[in-house]
Formats: sequence, structure tokens, C-alpha cells
Amino acid sequence: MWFHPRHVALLLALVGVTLACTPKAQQPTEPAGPKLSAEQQKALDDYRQEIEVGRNMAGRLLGYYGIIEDEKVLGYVNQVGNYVASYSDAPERRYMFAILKHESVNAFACPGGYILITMGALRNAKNEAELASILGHEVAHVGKRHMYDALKKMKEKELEDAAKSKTVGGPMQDALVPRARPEPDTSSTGSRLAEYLTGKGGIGLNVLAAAQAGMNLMTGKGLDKSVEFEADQEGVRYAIRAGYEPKALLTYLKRLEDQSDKKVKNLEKTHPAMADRRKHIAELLKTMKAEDIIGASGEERFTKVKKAFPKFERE
Amino acid sequence: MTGGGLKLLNNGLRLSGLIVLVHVSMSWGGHALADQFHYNNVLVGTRAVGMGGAFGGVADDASGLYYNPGGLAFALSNDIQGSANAFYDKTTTYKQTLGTTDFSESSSGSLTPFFGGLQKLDRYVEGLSVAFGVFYVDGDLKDQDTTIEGKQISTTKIDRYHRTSNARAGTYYAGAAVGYRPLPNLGFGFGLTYHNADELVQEFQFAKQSVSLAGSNNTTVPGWSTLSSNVRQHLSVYGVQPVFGAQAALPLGFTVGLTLKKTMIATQSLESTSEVTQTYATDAQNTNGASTTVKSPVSNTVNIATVKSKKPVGSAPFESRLGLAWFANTRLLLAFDVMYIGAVTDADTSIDPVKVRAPYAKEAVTNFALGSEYFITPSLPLRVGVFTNNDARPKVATGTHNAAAGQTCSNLDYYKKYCGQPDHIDYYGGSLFIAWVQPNSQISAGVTVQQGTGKAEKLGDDKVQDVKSQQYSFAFSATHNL
Repeated sequence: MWFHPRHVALLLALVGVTLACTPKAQQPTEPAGPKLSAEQQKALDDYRQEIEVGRNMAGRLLGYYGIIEDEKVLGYVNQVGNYVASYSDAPERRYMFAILKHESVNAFACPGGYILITMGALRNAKNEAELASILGHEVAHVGKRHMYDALKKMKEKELEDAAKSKTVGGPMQDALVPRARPEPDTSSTGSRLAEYLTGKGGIGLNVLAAAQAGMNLMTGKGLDKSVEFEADQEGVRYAIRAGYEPKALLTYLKRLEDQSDKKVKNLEKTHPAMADRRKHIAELLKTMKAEDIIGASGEERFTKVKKAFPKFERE
Repeated sequence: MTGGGLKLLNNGLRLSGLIVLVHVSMSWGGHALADQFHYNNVLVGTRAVGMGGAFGGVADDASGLYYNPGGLAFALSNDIQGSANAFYDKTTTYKQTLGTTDFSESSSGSLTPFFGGLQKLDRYVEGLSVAFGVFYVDGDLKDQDTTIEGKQISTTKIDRYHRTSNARAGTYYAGAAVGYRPLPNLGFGFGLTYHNADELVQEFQFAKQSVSLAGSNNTTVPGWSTLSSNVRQHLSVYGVQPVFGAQAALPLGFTVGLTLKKTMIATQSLESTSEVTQTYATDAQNTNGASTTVKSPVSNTVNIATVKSKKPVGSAPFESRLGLAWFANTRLLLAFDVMYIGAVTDADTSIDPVKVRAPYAKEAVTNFALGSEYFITPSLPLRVGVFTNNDARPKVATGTHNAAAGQTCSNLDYYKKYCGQPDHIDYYGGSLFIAWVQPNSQISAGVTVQQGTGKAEKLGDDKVQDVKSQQYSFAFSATHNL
């Protein structure tokens, strides 16, 4: 493809004129609003950064596992998830739910509100209350910023090492390790450029490294047991607030515990043992005096949707 | 690039200097064609271009389609990349071609050497990647206008010379490749690309020279001659290029890669049409008794010739590349490539005016490239490279010029050895690029410079000129990692 120099010059001139003549109002800018204090601005930037990391992680998971695109099932999961989230401690957040095309039993809460549940986890649920409790668990992870805080606590070197040591597809093979290049800084200039081009505020964290480290954590050793227990309890609390059957998550975990299938048991690699989780939930129910509450199971609605669950060969 | 001159010497004109150029430029190789005799004219790929094209041992991004499909299997991430030469300029100077005056050919323009993408498919098959790409490895865009007036060359005065030379030429590939690692340290790749070489040259030349014309009664009268030519030449080559690559990861961060290519030409054609008009004229008045007549023009001849060939370039050369790379650490990468491109011996000789040489014949060529990538900071890699770009045409032999012994270009045996030889210019070059890397993307900008020296017979006789050539291009590219 050839361009004569005068054509290039003309093109550059046109681009220059176009840029110069572009009204400021047409540039992507933040909507006018009250001026934020330094503290508020910092919090806003931090939240944006959290979303960037979570979006990157969710993208990797979706890319690796694939996604269920059935509108009926996907819409139902989003409906239930957002309904439970509206009774969480962070109802102002925006949550997006997606279903991973995989038969293992797991769910992932990416920072920023990207919640992904596997098809295997959905199939093992018997009613809507169980689904609501599972999603409540993930909503709690997001609202309590469990993953994001864990990443922020990592030092730069730890982030880099963690990012290199494993990807969602498995550990980086020895043959590829020498090819890894330094993780780039997100410069302030780059941030300003990104802000100009996209209208979004710049970010100070190395998003790529953080996302890779997050994937490593999520698919490797998992989060601390303490935060998993906390998410269980919070998730159950949100589900109860939303009017669901309090013991739904207990029932669900017991069902998983009774199975010997590897696809189910692998959940314990990243989460505490099912028995321990049930114990903590039971303690909460006792404390809340919620054991005798009769909540909705939503079994009929769930069963109808379950008929639309897609079947696929890949596991 | 200059070509034969026997036609020139046999046509009885025996003009010299610039008027000779009119004829020479008509002979094969006299035009500013895409320089398909040099294989390293345009470097492709964001990282590779900065490293002087030493990428056969790396090739782990979309440009692996060109450098080594085996490297695709070692890609760390998906990517999509595009690069462009913002501006290039090439000038070739033929020393003391017109008497003591140099003659220059120049061209400049902008081109898009590479656009491609890579997709890892590990989730389906561990170690599997695919890539696609379109790339230009050669090209020229010429729009040269030359005017010379009142030039004294030896005993001849050239009143006016005007040349307009336009060329659009490129060698284009588009295709896809797959890379797979059956073993963690060993990757293979195979690619298939569509190949098209297209050259269109249109050239107009005019020269006017003062001469003495023979008059009646063995007298001479002052006059002038003009010679003009219009040439249009179009070469088209279509084919497919299978490429096989292998790459192995060795201990201590070393890798070695081997690439083998061979373009299978499906169709090729060349058509050249030339129109030459030669005029002898005089304004002198011949006296015939009491009356005076003006005999102008004295003569006017027009020669129109068309040459066609269905096999002008013959077969395509076999190409191989051996690459060695050392990933010293996360900041430093060193790479070295050796490229061997085989000879082409079956190009068509019938398109040569005297059917002595095949204008598109090529000798075997070996090139080298050495490059490095160093991250000054995690966001600022500096890439430098040096490379050779040797000529596939034979070296120019210098004639003995002994007319008494019949050593002139009129002698066919002498001609075959010493006259009408194509240029031979060997280049060496370097590249320097700086990139700005962000978490999912990078942009890169820099310059590639080539300097060439060699020999030529610009006038098609056995006079050999020194040639110097310079080519530089400012390039930029962008890569997005997915």
C-alpha cells in the first residue's frame, strides 16, 4: 500500500486541523459535577483501578473457559444476583454476572463487581435460594474488596513474581519463562493520554501485573480462609435479608461434600473444607436466630430455568 | 540498475552523454523497479524492525508468520500489531556518469509494511497458536523529474535533457500460520501466504544535442538532433509461499530457530512497450542557385517495440533463515540471524534486447542480522540492530577497453563479459527504535538506515562507475496485547 509524500502530508494536515478544530465538548470528559476533595478523588481513582483489574481478570476467565450465552439462563442469574446484591452491604455497586462454560464447581468474584459462576456450580444447585446464597458469597467478596485488598497488600516484587509464576491456563512453562519481559509501569503520561482518549481517569497500579497476580491467587491457593468464611456468612446474611431460605447454602455445601467427583472436590483447593464452611454458617444462623425462619426456596422458578441449561461436551 | 547497451551501439547513432541515457534507460534493468534483488529492503514487525530483522530465534509475535512460524508456539500473549514507514527516501548516485558529473536516481514515499495478529489457542490445545498477517518486503514509489541544460560532456554539448520517471512497485504477502509445541521446548510452525509482486514503470525522456549534419558536396551544416522515448513496463507475479519453521528453547535462555521458504509461482507476466523517436534537423539554409530552401527536419524516425514474456522472473529462490537468540534476562535480549537465499537461473533471457542476460536472474545471497532489545526502564525498551542487504546480481566486471584488439561492446563475446551489466550494490544498515510499553500495548518509533556501495554501467557500455546509495526510513508501529 503506497502513499505519496504529499498525500501523507495532506493526511497529517487534515488530522491536525481536525484535532485542532475538535470542540472540547466533544471530547470524552467526565460529566460536570461537584468538585471532589482530594480524598474523594483518591477514592474514585482507587475504585476505577479496582474495576480495571477486575475487568482484566474477568476477561481472562471468560477467554479461558468460554461463556454461556443463553439469554434466559444468563438473565435469570443476573436477576437473582442483583436482587441479592441489593440487600448486601454494598448495594450501590454495579454487579455483572456471567456463566462460565465449564462443569467444575466454582465461582469467581473479580474486583469491581465481575462475578462469574461455572455451569457446574449452577447444575449442582436445586433451587433459587441456593443460587442466591452462592451469588451472595461472591457479592460479599466484591463488596468487602477481599481480592483487591489482597492484591494491594502485595509488594511490587511479589506482584511481578506472582504474575510470572502462573496463568489461568496453568503454570508458565519453563521454555517460556525467559521470554517474559519486565512488567511495564503505567506512567502518568500514559495515564493522561488514556484519560484524553477514553475520558477515563488514569490509574496508578500496574493493572496487568495485578490482574495476573489475581488470577494466580484465584486459581492457585485462593484467598485467606478467614475471608472465605466471612463471605459465606455475609452471603447467607444477604440471602436471608432478601427473603430466601436461610439454610440454602448449608444444604448446597453438604450436597457437594457428599460427592467424590474431582470437579467438585477441586473447590476445596481454593476454599476451606466444606465441613468447616458449614460449621461457620451454622454458627451464624444460630447467632442470628435464623434457623427457624421460613424463607423462599424459589424452587419452581429455578426448575423452569434449569430446563434451559445448555449441555456441552467440554468440561 | 542498468542493463544492456548493444542495441545502443548498433543503432548507428553513436551519440554520447545524456542522449545515451535515453537508450540505456530503455534496456532491461534501466528502470527504477522494485528492488527484488535485495531481500532486506523493508523490515517487518514491531520488535523485529528495531532489532535489524534478527528475529528468527524469537518470532513469538504475529511477525512470526514472516520470520519463523515455529516461534508462534512460544508466544506469551495474543497480540495484534501494525507498523508503517512514515516516510522513506532512497537515493542512488552513479559517480561521474555524465563526464565528471554524477547522476542520481531517487525515490521516496510511505508504505505499510506489516499488519498482523496472533491468537493463542492453549485452551483447546496446549502450545497451539495461530497468526495472520499482511506484509510488504520490498517496494518503491518513484516520481522523479530531471532536467539538465547546457551540459558539456567531452566534445559534445547537450542542449537539453529532460527525464520523467514514475514507478510503483511492491512485493506483497498475505497469509496465515499455525505454530505448535509438541514438546515444551520445541515448536514447529507452518504458514501459507499469498504472494504478489507488481511493478509498473513509466518513463519519458527527451534529449536535444547540437550536431553537424552532412550537407551536399561533402560540406557540413550546423544542426541538432533530438531523441525521445516513452516506455511502459509492467511485471506481475502471483503465487503462494509455504513457509516452515522450527524453534527450540535451549538451556540458559538460548533459543535457535530455522525457517525455510519457497514461493511457488502460479502466473507471471511481463509486458514492455517502448516508442523511440529520433529527429535530425537543421535550420541552416542551403543555397541552390538563386533560390534558398530550408530542409528541416532532415529525418524523423519512429521505432515502436513491444516485448512480452510469460516467464520473465523464472522460479522464485529458496530462502532459509537460521536464528539464534539469547534471553539474557528480563531486560536484555540478543539475537543473530543468518539468511541464505538461493539462486534463480531459469529467468527469461529472451526479454533482453540482445538475449544475453536474463534481467531477473539472481545469484545466491547470504545476509546477516544482529539485534538487541534492552529495557532501559520497564516501559522503555531500546531496540538496535545491524544487518547486511547484499545484492543478488553478479558483481560488475571491468572491461579492458582495447579497441585495437576488438575489445569493444560491438564484439558479442566481449559484450557478454563486460557490457550492459546490471548494477551491483551491497548494503549494510542499522536500525534504532525506542518503544513505550504500557500494560497491554506498546508503540514504537525509530529509523532504519541503509548505506550501499557498488559498481554500475549506467550507460550500458564498458565504462564502470562507482555507485553509492542511501536509504532511510522513519517508521512507527503499534502493538496491542490481548
